[in-house]
Amino acid sequence: MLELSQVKDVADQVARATLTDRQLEAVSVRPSVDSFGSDLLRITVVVHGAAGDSPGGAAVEALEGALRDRLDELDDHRLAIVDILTPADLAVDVDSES
Amino acid sequence: MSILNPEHLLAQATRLIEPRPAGPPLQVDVRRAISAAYYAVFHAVLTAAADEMVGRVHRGTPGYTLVYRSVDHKALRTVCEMAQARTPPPRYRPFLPDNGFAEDIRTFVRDVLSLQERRHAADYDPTDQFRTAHARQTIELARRALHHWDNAPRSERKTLLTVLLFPPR
Repeated sequence: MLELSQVKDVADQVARATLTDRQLEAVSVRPSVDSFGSDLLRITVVVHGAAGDSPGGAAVEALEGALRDRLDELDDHRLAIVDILTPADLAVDVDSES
Repeated sequence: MSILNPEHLLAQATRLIEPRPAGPPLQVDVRRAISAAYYAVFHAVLTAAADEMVGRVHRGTPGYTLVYRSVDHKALRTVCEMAQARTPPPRYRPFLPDNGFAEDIRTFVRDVLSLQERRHAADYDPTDQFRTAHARQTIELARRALHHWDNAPRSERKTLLTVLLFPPR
């Protein structure tokens, strides 16, 4: 199993190779646990753009597929969930409902 | 019998993330949108399984309900992991295509695994904050999953449904 810093490097490389029409701003990785208690990787890719201008499901699918292949090659079989957001998406207020 | 229509679930999800007249999107709406997107695919699989094994003409019969209700999230997860594995567990191999599943099923199962975890986080993780963009991507991912399912060879869909309903031991 890769270290998180290694996963971040892999995700960064795969994102640059996959999202060729987008300018990458940041990639972050955090460990999580899936619905059945196994390790899970949550990866957020931030790309340049306005609110609502983040790539759609096709880009997410392509990136998750390419990342799955690369992680398998490196013998890391954790499920990786990828979100692709713009800084503006992240800046949108969210209702805490607390 | 009333079968949940995947398209209606996706339409509901889309309505939930329409901009509000004022104020930020409500977490309950964004989270329910993500959940509905997963359930569109989940119910599509349940319907396909029951249609395949019992038959569309028998919808509304107890036997149809029995098959429909026999699949849970963990069973779906297990079969999707098996189908995307480079080397499936030996007990499955006699039932699988010689060269493994083709691209549409492989992409479909990967999408299902992703959707399942997105739904789980949206439904149960209070630490996450979900944006409209999360829900929009999840809805689109669900649409793509359904597209791959529809595009897959019928023989492969039937194989996947068979090992889903009757896991080899």
